[in-house]
Amino acid sequence: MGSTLNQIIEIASWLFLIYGAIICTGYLFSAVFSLIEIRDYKRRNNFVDETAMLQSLNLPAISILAPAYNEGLNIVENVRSLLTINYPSFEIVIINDGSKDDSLKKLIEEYELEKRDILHHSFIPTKTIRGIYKSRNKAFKSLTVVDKENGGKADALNTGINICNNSIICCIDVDCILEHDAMLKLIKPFLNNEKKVIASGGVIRVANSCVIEDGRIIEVKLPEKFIARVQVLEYFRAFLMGRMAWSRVDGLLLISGAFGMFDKPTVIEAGGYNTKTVGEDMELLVRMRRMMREKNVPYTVGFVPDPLCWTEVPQSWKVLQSQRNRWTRGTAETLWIHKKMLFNPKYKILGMLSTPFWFFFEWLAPLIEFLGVLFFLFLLLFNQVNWVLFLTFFLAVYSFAFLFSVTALFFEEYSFQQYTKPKYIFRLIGTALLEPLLYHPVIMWSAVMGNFDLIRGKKKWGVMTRAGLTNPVRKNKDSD
Amino acid sequence: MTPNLVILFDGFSNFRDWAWIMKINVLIIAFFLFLTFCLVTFILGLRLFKNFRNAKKQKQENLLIDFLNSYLFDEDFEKQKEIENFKKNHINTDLEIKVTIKEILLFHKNLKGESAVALEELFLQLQLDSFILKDLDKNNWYTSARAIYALSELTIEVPVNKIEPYLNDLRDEVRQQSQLYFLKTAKTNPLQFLDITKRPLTTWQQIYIENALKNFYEGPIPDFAQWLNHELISVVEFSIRLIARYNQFENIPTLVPFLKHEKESVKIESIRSLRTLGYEELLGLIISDFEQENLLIKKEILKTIKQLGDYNDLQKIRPFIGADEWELKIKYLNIERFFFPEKMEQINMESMLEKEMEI
Amino acid sequence: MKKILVIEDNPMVIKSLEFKLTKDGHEVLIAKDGRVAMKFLKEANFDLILTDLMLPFVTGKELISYIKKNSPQTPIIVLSTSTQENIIMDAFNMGVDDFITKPFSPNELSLRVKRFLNKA
Repeated sequence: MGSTLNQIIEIASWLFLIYGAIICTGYLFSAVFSLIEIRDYKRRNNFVDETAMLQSLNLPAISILAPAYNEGLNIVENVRSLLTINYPSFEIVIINDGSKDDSLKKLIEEYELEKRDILHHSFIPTKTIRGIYKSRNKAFKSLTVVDKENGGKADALNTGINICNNSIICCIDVDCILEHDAMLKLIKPFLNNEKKVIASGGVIRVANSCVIEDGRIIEVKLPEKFIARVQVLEYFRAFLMGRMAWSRVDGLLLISGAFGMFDKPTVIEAGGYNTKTVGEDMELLVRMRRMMREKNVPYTVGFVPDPLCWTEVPQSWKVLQSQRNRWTRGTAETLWIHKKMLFNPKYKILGMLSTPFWFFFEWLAPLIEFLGVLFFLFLLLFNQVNWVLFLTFFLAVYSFAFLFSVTALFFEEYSFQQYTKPKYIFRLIGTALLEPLLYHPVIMWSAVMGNFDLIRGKKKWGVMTRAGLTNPVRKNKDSD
Repeated sequence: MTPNLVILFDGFSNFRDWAWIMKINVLIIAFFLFLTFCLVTFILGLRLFKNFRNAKKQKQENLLIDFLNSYLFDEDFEKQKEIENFKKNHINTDLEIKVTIKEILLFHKNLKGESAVALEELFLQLQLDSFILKDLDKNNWYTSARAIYALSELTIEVPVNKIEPYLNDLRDEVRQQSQLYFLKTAKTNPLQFLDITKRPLTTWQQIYIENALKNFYEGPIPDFAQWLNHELISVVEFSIRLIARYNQFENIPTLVPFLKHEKESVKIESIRSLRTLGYEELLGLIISDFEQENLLIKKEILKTIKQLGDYNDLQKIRPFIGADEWELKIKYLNIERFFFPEKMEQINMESMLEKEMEI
Repeated sequence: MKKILVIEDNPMVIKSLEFKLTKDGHEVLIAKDGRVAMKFLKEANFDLILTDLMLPFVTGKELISYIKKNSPQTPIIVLSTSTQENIIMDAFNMGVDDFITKPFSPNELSLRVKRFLNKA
C-alpha cells in the first residue's frame, strides 16, 4: 500500500505543481496587463472634457434600468440620487418586481406618479405588467416606474428592456451608489466606435462602512468587520487584476450585474436575460458574445478601469455563504449552457482562453481544493502524512495567496488610492495574511455546497437580508 | 513525526524526486516572500511619495488660484511686478511648471471673453510656451498630446509641419488633439484637416470637433458639402450632420442624392439632416421606399412623418408594417396619438389589431 | 450690500465667482451642492441666486421650483454647461430670469448680475 500511496502522492504533487504553475503564469500576465491598462487609462483620462460631452448632441441617450424588490427602506433616496446623474439625456426606469412592502406607494407619493397608458410590447417574454407610472411634476420627467408581478431580477430587467426608449441601456442595482460622472465614463467605449461595442463595465467598490449621504459617498472608509474587509481585497483582485487583464485580451466574460451598460438591440436579439439561471449577468454577456461570434460580426466589450459604482457586500457569514453558493451555481449553469464553446477554436479567445480558464480555475478550483483537503484527511487518518512535504505545499500556496493580494493592493495604490489613511494599508495587509486561513475555507465550502445544491436542483436566490447600507452617518432629507 | 518521515523516506525509491519537489516548493516560497516584501516596500514608498507630491501640488495650486484670480479681477493688481515675481520664484521645478500650466488651462477652459484673452497673455508672459514646445518634440504620445492640447487651448501657433504628422497617428488622443489644434488656430476653413485625415472619425472625436467649432472657432462657417465625397464614410456622415446643425439650406439639393446611398448609416444621416432642415419634398422621396428599407431606416421615416407629415402620410405606410414588427407598430401608434391627442385612450394595441383584421 | 447665493460644485468656478462678485461689492454665500443650498434657502433671504442645473443631492430644477414657490421675487440666473434647447426652454418655463452657458465670461456675468440687482 505504501508504494501505490506514494505514487499517488507523487502524481498529485506533479499535477498540483502544474496547476499552480498555470495559475502563477495567469497571475503574471494579469499583473503585467493590468499595469499597462491602468497606466494607459490614467493618461487617456487627462484628455476628457466633461463640458464638451455634456453639451454634445451626439452623446447617445441612455435608459437606466433598476429592478427593485422590497427596497422600501431606501428606494426614495436611491431614485433621487439617480435623478442627479451627470449626463445630458437619460431616462430612469424603476421596475417594481412585485414588492410586498410599500416601495411602490412611497415612490408614487414622493414623485407624484400617476398611471399612464404607455404602449409597449414584450420583445422578451416577461411576467405581467400591472401598471406604468410617470410623474405629474416636470422636475421628474425622466422617471418611469413599472409595477409588475414578481419574477426575479432577470425578469424585471427584461421588462425594463421592453419598456425603455433608448438603445443604450444601463442595468444597475437600485441601491448602488454611483460616482457622479459614472455614466460619462461608462459610455466612452461606445463612442470609440471603430468596432461595434456591445457592452461596457467598470470597477465596483465595497461601500460598507463608507459615509453615505443621500446617495453619495462622502467619505471612503475601510470596512470595520473582517468579513467585509476581505471582500475589499477580493474586489481588488477581481477588478484591478482579473477584469483588466481579461479586457486587454478582449476575453471578458462577466460584467457585474451591479452596474453595466449594454447595446439594447443586441441584448434583445440575444434573447434578454435568462430567467432560469441565478448567474444571469454572466450568462447574458457570454450569450451575447457567442451570438456576435456566430454571426461573424466584429465587436468588442469595453471595460473602464475606473471605480464607478459602490455596493454593499454581505457582512454576515450566512449571507456571504448564500451569495457564493449562488455565484457558483451561476458559473456552473453558464458554463454548462455554453459548454460548446470550451476549447472550440471557432470562438477564438472566448473559446480557447476565457471559458477554459473559468472552467478550470474559477469553477473547478474549489472542488480540487476540497479534494485536496479530503485527501489530506485521508492521509491523516492512516498516519501517512509527510508533514514536511505538506508544510511546504501549504506554505507555497499561502505565500502565493498573500502575494496575489499584496499585488492587488499595489495596483490600488498605483491607480486610485481610495483608502487614504495609512493605517488602512496596514489593516489590509493584515487582512491579507488572515484571509487564506479564516476566510478562504468558508468560500471553498460554499462553492462546494453550491455545486452540490445545483445537482440537487436548488434554484432559489436564498437568504438576502436588506439592512440598508450600514454606515454611521445616515441622513434623510426630512431630518434636516 | 520523525519516525513517519524516516519510514516514508525509506519506503520508496524516488527519494530524490521527493526531495526535489520539496526543494522546488521551498524555492517557490522564498521567491514569493521576496516579491511580497518588495511589493510592500513599493506600496509604502509609493504612498509616501504621493503624499509628499500632493502636498506640494496643493500648495502650488492654492498659490495659483489666488494669483490668477487677482490677475483677472483685481484692478489694483500690479501685473508686471507680480508676474516677474512669480516667474522668478514659482516656476522653477518641473512640478511647479506642470501645475501652473494645468491650472491656467483649467481657468481658460471655464472662462471665456476678456478673461480668456488675459490668461493667454499671461501664459506667454510667464514664458511657459517654451516648455510646451519642448514637450511637443518628445517621443511619448501622452506628452505630445498634452502639449498639443495646451497649444490649441491657448491658441498658440506653431509651424504647421510640427503638428500635421500627428493627424494620422496611431493613438486616438494624439489625433484628436491635433485635429482640435488645427480647428482652434484656424482663421478660416477650420476643418481643412479633414482633407488629409486618413483614419476614421470616431463619435468621440466628432463630439469634440463640434464642440470646438461652436465654442472656439470665430471665423466663417465653411460649406460642409465639400467633404461629402470624402473617402472615409465617417467624414461623410459627419459632414451631413453638420450641414443640418448649421442650417446650410443651400446644400439641400446636394444632400438629396445621399438618400439613395449604398451605406445605411449615410442614408440615415441624410434623412435626419433633411428632416432637421425641414425639407418639404423629403417625405415624398422616402415614403415610397418604405417597404424595401430595413428597420432602422423605417424608424427614421416614421420620425420624419411625425415631424414633417400628417395622418395621410401615416396611412400610406400603414400596410407595410408587418404583423410582428412590434417596434414599428408602437412607434406608429404613438405618432397617431400625437396627431390625435383627444383620441389617446382609443388608440392602443387593440386598435392596431382591429385594423389588421380589416385588411 | 446685496446678498448673492451661488450654487455651484466646480471648485475653480466657485473661487473665481466668489472673488469677482466680492470685488464687485456684493456679499457672496457659496453652496457646493443642492442640499447645502436648500439649507441656506430655508435660513435666509437673498437678493439674487446664481445656480447650476447639475448638482449633487438635489437637482437644480428642484431648487428652482422651491425658490419660485417660496420667494418668487428673487431673480434666478442659471449658469450651466447645458446648451440643449429643450433644457434652456424648460428652465425659462420654470421661471428663471437668465441662462448663461459655460464656459462663461466673468465680465458679462458680473454685468448681468448688476442689472438684476438694480432692477429689484
